[in-house]
Amino acid sequence: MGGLEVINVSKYYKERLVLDRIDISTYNKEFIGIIGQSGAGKSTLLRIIAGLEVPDAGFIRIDGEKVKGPTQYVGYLFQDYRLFPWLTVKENVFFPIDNSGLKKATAYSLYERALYYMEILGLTEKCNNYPHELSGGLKQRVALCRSLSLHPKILLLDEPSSALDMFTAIKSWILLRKLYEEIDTTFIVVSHNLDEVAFLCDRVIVLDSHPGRVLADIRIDQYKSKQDEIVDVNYLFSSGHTRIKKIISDMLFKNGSPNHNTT
Amino acid sequence: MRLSSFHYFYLQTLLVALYAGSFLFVWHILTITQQSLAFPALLQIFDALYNSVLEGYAWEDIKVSIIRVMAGWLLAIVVGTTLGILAGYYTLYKPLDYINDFLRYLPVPAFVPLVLVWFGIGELSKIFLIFLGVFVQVITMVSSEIRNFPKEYKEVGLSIGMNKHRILINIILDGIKPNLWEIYRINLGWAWTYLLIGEVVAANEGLGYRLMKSQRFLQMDVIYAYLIIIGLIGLFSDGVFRALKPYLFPYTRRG
Repeated sequence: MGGLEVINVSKYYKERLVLDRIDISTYNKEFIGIIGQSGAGKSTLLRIIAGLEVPDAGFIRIDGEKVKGPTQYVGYLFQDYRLFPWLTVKENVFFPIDNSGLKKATAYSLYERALYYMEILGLTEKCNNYPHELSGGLKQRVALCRSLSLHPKILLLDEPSSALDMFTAIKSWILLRKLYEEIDTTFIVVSHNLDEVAFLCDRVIVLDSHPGRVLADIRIDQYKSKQDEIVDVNYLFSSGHTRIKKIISDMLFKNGSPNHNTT
Repeated sequence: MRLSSFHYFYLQTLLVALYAGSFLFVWHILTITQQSLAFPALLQIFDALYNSVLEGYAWEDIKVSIIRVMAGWLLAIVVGTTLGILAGYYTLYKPLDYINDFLRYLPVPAFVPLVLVWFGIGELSKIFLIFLGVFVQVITMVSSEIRNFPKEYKEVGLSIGMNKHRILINIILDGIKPNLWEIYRINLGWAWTYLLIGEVVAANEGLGYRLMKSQRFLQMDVIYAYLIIIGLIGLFSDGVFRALKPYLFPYTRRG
């Protein structure tokens, strides 16, 4: 499990402040949601954590080590999945292992683990298919498997269900939550979907927009009862879930209007 | 209505037969109405084709020309692909693109006198003319493929800590393979064009040489017969490329 510290991170795009002094830290395994309106800099924050972008101020530390660029300690599930069309499902999943220059013994154990992920995500039968032969939901699972194949300490999920229909999205949330329970990795999901964040996460960070600032850091697991821990689609229709959504949306729109600071 | 691949194939064959039949019909009308040396009768062309094959010189010409084309084309795609990758990916080699653009606009026939001085009238001059015409096109097409490769896929490599060279070798080159295959197919057609430039100038055998010789003796039927041979070779090589593509790159098979 990876301790993550986002320390005083700011980012400008063409002199426009996108992220303003963001501070987030987690030291134990958590399922964290980052929610905000468009322009809150959610995806930018994720890319900075992944080392794909450099902050203009502040820095990121993983397990006490400053992030200087992308590493295999951080997995990234891209919003559009980005599966390589020329590789089969299995080759896509193994790609990070094949191309990380790992020692044979390490690679071997990672192959085993990746096969296990494929099995629990129901991909074993599709392992020789190409991405264009898969449905949106299956593509997402392959991308998830690939992003977990190096056994990262932190998994970043950028709007994981934005390309899925409602039914597939709900199924994918259930699978994600089950997977999270199984492995020793911190999940950080960026979304603007209240249902998704309320269903998946234990902790939600609400970002303001233009520029992105931390409005609230809510531990929502305290509002989830023991009964809610059973991962089930019925939970989506429970009063507990509605209450959590209300708490998040109150913070999200605490200045009165969803468009309070858009021009 | 969506056609099955079986029906689609038959429809295509039927249309090809229809277009070819219409062309032959127009040709036949021309030969009757014009009575000109420029338009020999279809039977006369077929006779010339039959005789050239029967007497064996067509096979010799085909063999010699194919060897020249393959040598020039293979050299051009190896050199062109290497330089195209370098020019398209590394800033250090980017100027190669500008130098290539300069070369690309120089007509190959303009090099014929120079090439004859450089390499004499042997095989090398013909192969070099093909190489010259093709490799500049390959560089442009390959470097453009590299430059237009989706950055999203490159970012996947970056996200797992791959360096620039590994991204080139293990992502970009793998991703553009079907497009490279198409580039090679298109340029094989160009190679035949440049072969004829070489063979009409200085050769003792080959399809281009025979065309020039037939022109000298006003054997228009032989010229048309050889044009048909060249067209059929092109059709065959294109067909081989197209037929192999789905087997070499199975993920391009869709629908």
